[in-house]
Amino acid sequence: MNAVWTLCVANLREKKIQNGLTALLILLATLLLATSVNVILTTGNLFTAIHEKTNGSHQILKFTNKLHDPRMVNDWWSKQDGVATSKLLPFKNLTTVMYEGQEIPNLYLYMMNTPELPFGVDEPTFVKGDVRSNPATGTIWISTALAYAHGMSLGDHLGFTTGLEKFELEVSAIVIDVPYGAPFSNGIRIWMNTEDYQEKLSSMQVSDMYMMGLRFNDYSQNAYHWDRFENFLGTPFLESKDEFETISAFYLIINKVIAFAMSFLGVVMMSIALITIGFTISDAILSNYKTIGVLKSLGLSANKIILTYVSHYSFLAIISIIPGLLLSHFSSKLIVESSLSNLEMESTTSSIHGGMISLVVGVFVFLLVFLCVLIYSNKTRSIEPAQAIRYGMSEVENSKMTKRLGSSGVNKFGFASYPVAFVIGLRNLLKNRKGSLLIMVLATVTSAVLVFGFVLLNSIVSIEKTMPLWGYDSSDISVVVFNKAAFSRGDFEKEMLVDERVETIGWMGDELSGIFPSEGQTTGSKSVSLDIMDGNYDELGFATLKGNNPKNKNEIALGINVAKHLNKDIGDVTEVYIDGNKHTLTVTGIYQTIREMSNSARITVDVVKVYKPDYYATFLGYIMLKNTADSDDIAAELNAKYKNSVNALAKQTLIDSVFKEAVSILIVPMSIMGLMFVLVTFIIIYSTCRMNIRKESKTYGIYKSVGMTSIKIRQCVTSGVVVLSTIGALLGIVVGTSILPIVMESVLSSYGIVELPLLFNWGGILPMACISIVSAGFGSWLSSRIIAKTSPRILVVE
Amino acid sequence: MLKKAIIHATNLCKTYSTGSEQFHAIRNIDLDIYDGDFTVIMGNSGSGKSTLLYLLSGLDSITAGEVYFQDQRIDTYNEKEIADFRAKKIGYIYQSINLVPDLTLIENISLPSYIAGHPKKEVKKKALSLMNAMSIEEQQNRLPSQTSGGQQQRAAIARALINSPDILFADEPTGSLNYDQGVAVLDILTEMNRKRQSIVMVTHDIKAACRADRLIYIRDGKIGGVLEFEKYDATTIQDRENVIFSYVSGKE
Ligand SMILES: Nc1ncnc2c1ncn2[C@@H]1O[C@H](COP(=O)(O)OP(=O)(O)OP(=O)(O)O)[C@@H](O)[C@H]1O
Ligand SMILES: [Mg+2]
Repeated sequence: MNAVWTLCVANLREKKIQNGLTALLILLATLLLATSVNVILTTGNLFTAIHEKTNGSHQILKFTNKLHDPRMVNDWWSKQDGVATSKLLPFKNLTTVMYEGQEIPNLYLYMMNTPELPFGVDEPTFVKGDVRSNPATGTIWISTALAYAHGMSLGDHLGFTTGLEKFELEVSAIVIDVPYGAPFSNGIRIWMNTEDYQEKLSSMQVSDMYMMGLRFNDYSQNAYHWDRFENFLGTPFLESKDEFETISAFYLIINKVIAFAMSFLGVVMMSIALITIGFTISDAILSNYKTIGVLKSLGLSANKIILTYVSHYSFLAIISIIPGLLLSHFSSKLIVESSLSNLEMESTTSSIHGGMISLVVGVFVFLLVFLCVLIYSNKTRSIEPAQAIRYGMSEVENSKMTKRLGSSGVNKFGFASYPVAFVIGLRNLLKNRKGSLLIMVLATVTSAVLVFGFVLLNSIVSIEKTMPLWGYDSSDISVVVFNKAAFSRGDFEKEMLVDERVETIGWMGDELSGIFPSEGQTTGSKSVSLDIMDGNYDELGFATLKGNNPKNKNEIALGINVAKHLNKDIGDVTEVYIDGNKHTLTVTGIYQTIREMSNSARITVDVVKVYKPDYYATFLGYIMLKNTADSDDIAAELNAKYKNSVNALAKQTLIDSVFKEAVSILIVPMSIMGLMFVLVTFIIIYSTCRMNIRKESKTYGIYKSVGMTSIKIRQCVTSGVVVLSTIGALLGIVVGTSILPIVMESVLSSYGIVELPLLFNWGGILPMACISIVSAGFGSWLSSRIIAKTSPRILVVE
Repeated sequence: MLKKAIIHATNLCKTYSTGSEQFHAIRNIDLDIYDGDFTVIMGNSGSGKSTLLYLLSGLDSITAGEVYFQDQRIDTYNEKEIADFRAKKIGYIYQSINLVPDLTLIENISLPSYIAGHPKKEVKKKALSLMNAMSIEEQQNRLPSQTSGGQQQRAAIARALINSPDILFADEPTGSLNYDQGVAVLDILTEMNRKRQSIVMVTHDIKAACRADRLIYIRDGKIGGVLEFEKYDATTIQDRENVIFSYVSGKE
């Protein structure tokens, strides 16, 4: 036992740097593992937990077209077993909100006439402000989504306009509003006091609209309830219905993207960390072959030798796992908070939960280290002292090595045919095949991750170039009409079309639902939101995956998820109810859109005109300019001129607001992960190179003593590593640009995006890929400093 | 006849530091090594023989003093100059052989010559002729671990000689060999010396020391004495052995 203790202490004391690096690697591996596990579990649970806690809805019915009596529908659902139904929530829409003198662009406001809490479903959760049963007069409750995005706090005043009248209300509470609080969504509910609602919005000539939430005890049973409901109605439900998938989509899509990135990075980091730990340990043990041989010849038993290593590495593991776990607490908190802050209450990250995860991860890493040591040190059992002392490795290993160097090495890569430097560099790689492979794999993975991360971020940042592929138009200005009574589309158009700067105008009709009746399947009817275009889809930049956009009164294009659900392809005929009228349309194309997760369809205004000849689409105008640079000016002109009826937005403004959100929820966490990744890779490559060089120091000493300069030796070693990592980086580019996007697409396909609109900016991809080469080159150059610093005597003798 | 010094060292010092302790392995040595001589260094274990050899050959840095090689000061050489010096001027045979384990014998032997930039054909020819002289040409394509200690040591000698160095250093070249192998190696060295090859050899073995023209005795990092065989009338090997034995025993 004494011998074991002495040896263990000597191992720890004598190789301080080597031990330090090993400990650092274990620390980083733990950090990454714990962070990724924490992030994945927390983000996944956060939505489910809050949805559960607020008694969140699975479906939201909106009554905007007076096709059914909301009270009757509400009554029917309230009587059903297994379904929770919210109170009827009256609302009117506004589009403009002013904060600190600035108009916040790209918002669609639901001004709610707040009934007494509880609502029954989708209870608002108070994050800030006093809990009350409804807002006090003159005040409103706003959602975290609105508040956090624009830095609003209690006591702030928000300005609204109905077109005819302006008014201000004070924020008295900030609440989590799950169905309308997702990142990237632009529908926001403003909870008003009933008196305010009646007084301030009275000038609006629209009557109240209603919404209500449904929550099923068993969501999978919803089709059964709907069958009975539509039986009761005698028709399909003709108003709009938001499905759970749509409600949760934006949370989950972001969640999926982040979780994908996280779990991918996490898994990769984990395996790299584990491989590295294994490699480090095996290397440390196997390079000690001679010593082990000597110890054995002195009579130390195999078990005791193993015990030495086990205690050595257990000690290292313990001192590095603990700080790793502590650090991971901060990094995962940082990532989660920046990505899903909308759902975050003051103190949701329950430390007990996090503590348990950390503990499990810690024990897991410890066991892995333990296992690695056991496996590799068990190899020392078979060491025959004589062989070990003679070869510095086992006889089997030696003959393998001999074969490798003997056959291929000498004949193909001898000094006779290549320069000395080349041979030395190459030999170094061939001899340490495992180490070389590790470096190459590291380079591949790092490059792949960085390249893909870059491509993804770049695609989001430059989303204006790919808007159509995300399912949006590419018009320069969009015009929201918020006061139809005060607006004449004819006049507006006349004015616009004489303007020389304007190319075309298109109009989108009011939000309408299209109901596809069930065709004998058990899936039930499907309600999707309809885009109704008065104009040309193609000219306004709407893209399709295949086929074309509709042009005639008997044509329709389907979102990919609708097409999948209905099992329809181009040329097929489908029935659809619009405003209660049945239409039979031919599918002309299939498209993807991130809105509604491709649960939508496109028709032309002609379809509606079949049953409503005087239908006029005046909900949203798209203006295409000859020169995009004019868009800010024209938008400003329109807003000044039609300030009582429309709200014009330049595309850039819209993109900026999307971009701002993308930065906070995607770029920050992914950059943190990316940075950690680069750092860790660098350290791993550095220490791997260092170990290789240490192992070969005697050989380098001999090279030096027969007249090679240390610069030359370091150049050989480094260029070998650089060549390797370059190969790795090239592979990484291939993986990052072709394989990872496919994986990501499969993750996102159920969210309506089947072809990721990625932008490959090679000017950025190549530098990204080079980071791994640089860190490998730098790592091996740095780690070979020892050759320069040390005299041949020390290199050779020690 | 006045001999020309190939190496001239003055006030040579080497201090090893282990943690807080300092160990003066070589203390203020003044020494000349003559061109064409077979010089032998003897002394007790730990007296500093190997250390002295490293310093004279430029394989280790000195703590104080000056070392001249052919009137050029070498301890102030920069990295490139010292590397060039090692490649072209000296050959070094280690106490513990030190062949590169993953190069074959012929590659090990050719290595310095390639580094010095000699043409391939010439290198190969020279390597083969050296191996032939050392009777190891049959093992040329084997790795060091596949050959005997004597063969390895002869390969190490061949490697030290391939660039026709101006001086050859050998640190107990026979230490790890059996008697016959040792004699063979010494015969090779003696033969080289007859062709005016300067040699400095560290040894414990009196029989080996007999081959020398001059014996330097090291004691506690200092020169304990110098024995010039010219001054003795010792013509036979037996005579020389006796001279050395009485000289060395007198010193101990
Ligand atoms: N790196 C070192 N650090 C500290 N002391 C050292 C170091 N290397 C050698 N020494 C000490 O320096 C002294 C001289 O060592 P050196 O190797 O020159 O002895 P030597 O005369 O060659 O002995 P031997 O005949 O046993 O080979 C010894 O006492 C040794 O312990
Ligand atoms: Mg010695």
